[in-house]
Order: sequence, then structure tokens, then C-alpha cells
Amino acid sequence: MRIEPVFLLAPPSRASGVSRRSVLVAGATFACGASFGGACAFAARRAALPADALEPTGDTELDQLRRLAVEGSDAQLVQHRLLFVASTFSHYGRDAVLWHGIGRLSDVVVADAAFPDRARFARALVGVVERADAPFAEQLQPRVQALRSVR
Amino acid sequence: MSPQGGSGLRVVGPVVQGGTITIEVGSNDTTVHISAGSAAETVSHPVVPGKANHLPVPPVPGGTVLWIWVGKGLNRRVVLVEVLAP
Repeated sequence: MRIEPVFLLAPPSRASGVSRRSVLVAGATFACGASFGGACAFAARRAALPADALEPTGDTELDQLRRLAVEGSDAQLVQHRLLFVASTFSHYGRDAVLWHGIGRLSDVVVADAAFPDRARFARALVGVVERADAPFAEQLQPRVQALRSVR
Repeated sequence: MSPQGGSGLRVVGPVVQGGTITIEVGSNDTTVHISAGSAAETVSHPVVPGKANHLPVPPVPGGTVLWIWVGKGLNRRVVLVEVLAP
């Protein structure tokens, strides 16, 4: 009896798992998307503000608080939240730029379950918003219900 | 209740409607501000640094969160304290 070799055709080989190229493409796509999204969010934030929102006012404290309200990251805003809010309602209660920052803080405290001292801060913000002058109180009123629901 | 705050401003004990707030401040502060959340509802009290100061709780409903601070400008130190119903 004679043994003949038999050659079987294997399917074309495919690199197992994820190729390096696809990882690079996915990473680059994510980076572009994140940058674009961040830029859009920043532009949208700025669009809602007066054109002179970050012009120097002659008041260093106000200028710094305004920069925090507009250009500060969420993390920076959260870090300085108590000083920021207390300064806004006690000294700069008619500054639209700072109230814009309070709107940002409201959104963050509602969205972030890990926000420090979350429930108490949300209730404190409700008190501040309800005591604000009419235009700012009206502007932030839609957020009050969400703030009240924070536990 | 554990003390609220640190580094130059501490509120000790519970804050009950109609009662007093016990506040300890740092050595450089002689005034404490207590607010329900607006300039119109902010009261300032002289305090003795390094001692427990007993100040009246503002007339606010139970559940109100008070803003308490010492210092000025960007050096302000702030704590939040909830007023409990008796």
C-alpha cells in the first residue's frame, strides 16, 4: 500500500484579533472626534455669552471668576464651586457671565453621581437660583427640578 | 454631626432652626458671613479668632442650606451647613 500526501487548502489567513492599523485608526478617529466635540461645546458655551465676557473689567477677582465660568474645565469649576457660587451671589449678583458658570455647575452636579457633597450642594444651588434676580432666576429655573431630584 | 469645613473655618455641631451656630475661625478672621444664598439675606457677625463663637441661626425654614464664609475675595473659605427643623 502506498501513502500519497494530501494537501488541503486552508482558508486565507487573517490576522487574529485587532490589527495595529485598526487600533491606530480608531484612536485617531476618537481623538479627532473628542477634539471636535470639545471645540463645539466650547463654542456653544461662548455663543450664549456676551461678546465682552472675558474683557478685563478692572476687578481682578471678577475677571478670574469669569475665566473660571467660561474657560475653566468642569473639574476646575467643581474644585472652586463654593468660592465661585458664594462670590457670585454675594458680590456679583448681576453678572451674567458668572450666572452662566452657575448654570454649568448645575448641569455638572445633576450629571455627576460622584460630585462631592452632591445632595447638599444641589439644595444650596436651588436656594441661590431661587433668590437670584429675575433674569438669572428665570434663565436657570428649568434646572431647578433636576437639582431638587439630586439625592 | 461632624464638624464642617477646615483650615480656618469650622462649624461644630448641628444647626437647628431658631438655635445657634457654633463656629471656629482662624487667627486672621474677625468676621463671619452667614447667608441663605443672596446678598440681601447675608448677615455678618464679628467673631473672636481661635474660639468657639455662638451665632444665631438666621430665620430660614428647616432644610435650608446656609452658606458660611470668612475672608475676602479669592481667599474666601466657604462651608455649607443645613438647617435642621427642631
